[in-house]
Amino acid sequence: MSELELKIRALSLRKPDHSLDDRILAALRQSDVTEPTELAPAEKSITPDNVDFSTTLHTNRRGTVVTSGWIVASVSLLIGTVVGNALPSISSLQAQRDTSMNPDQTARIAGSEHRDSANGSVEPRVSEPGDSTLTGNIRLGSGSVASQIVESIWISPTAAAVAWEQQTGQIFNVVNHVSDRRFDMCRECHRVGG
Amino acid sequence: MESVLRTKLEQLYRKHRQSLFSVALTVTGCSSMAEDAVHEAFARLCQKSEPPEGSLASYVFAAVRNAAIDCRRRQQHQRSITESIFASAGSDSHLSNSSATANQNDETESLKSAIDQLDELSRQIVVMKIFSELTFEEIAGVLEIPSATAATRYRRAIMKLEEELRRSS
Repeated sequence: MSELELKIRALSLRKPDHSLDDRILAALRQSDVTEPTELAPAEKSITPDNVDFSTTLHTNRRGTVVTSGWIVASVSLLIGTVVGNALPSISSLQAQRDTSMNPDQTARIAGSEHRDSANGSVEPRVSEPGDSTLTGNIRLGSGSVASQIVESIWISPTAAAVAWEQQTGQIFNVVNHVSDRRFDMCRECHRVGG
Repeated sequence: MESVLRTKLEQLYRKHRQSLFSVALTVTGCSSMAEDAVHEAFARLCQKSEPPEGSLASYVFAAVRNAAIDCRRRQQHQRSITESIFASAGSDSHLSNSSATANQNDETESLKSAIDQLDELSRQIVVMKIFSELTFEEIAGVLEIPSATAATRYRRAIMKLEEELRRSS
């Protein structure tokens, strides 16, 4: 190196701000950490297609071999049973209440209820153009709405049960459901006589 | 592989941060824009999974220079200042304290001024050659010119600086 080059080297370059170091090092280290990838909704939900029935084998007290996927399916069935049992009773209670409030079983028109006036007297209210109205009888019979909900709840566990049967070649145990009032409803998803 | 590359990038940044910033500053003429360019370049480099073929230093310098050119293009309308790549007078304490003569200080300031007046490419070559000790081949890779051209430009710049110093003294 010549004398001039040494002189140039002795000069002080302008220093970048300290924040630059922080920014660069943060960028370098941030990409060092592998961020957990967000699961897609389809991956989050447990469906018969993505339940892994063959991952782990367990032996329970009765000696039957179950898989981890089966545990998930069992829990889903249990939840479904509890919810399914509860909904019809709620529905019947609601039906009773509706019957008592609307004994003539006619269509309930929004805005047509009698309303208490300020002085305590009851005066009929005439429907106004802005009011929402129901044009038909929404009461399809007690339990029908609940049944639809129950069926949608039962889709996942029953499908999982079918998949489990196909996977393991064993018969799905429906003993706990025979006494269920809605057994008929989900029977088609179970093996007949199982 | 990625973590190895990032480790190398960090080491390279720590070693050459001053020169990287200076190269960006020769392009942008503005220290804050130069910082942004360096940051932008490293942010892009972090997304690479494979190390480049050849010299990593050359690759990083080229990335910083390109980012600086991009910054300059974006801020073209605002470009009116041209900051020196050197620190302001008085910061060269090792010179002024040890042999604190007025002549030396004058010479230092003249030298700074002469380098600042070099054309952009020559300044970049001087910074990369003297402060970061890159080879002419590496410099050529950064500037996308033949290495012989880089060497010639460097020699001419040194000659010009010597001439400027003689004239000022």
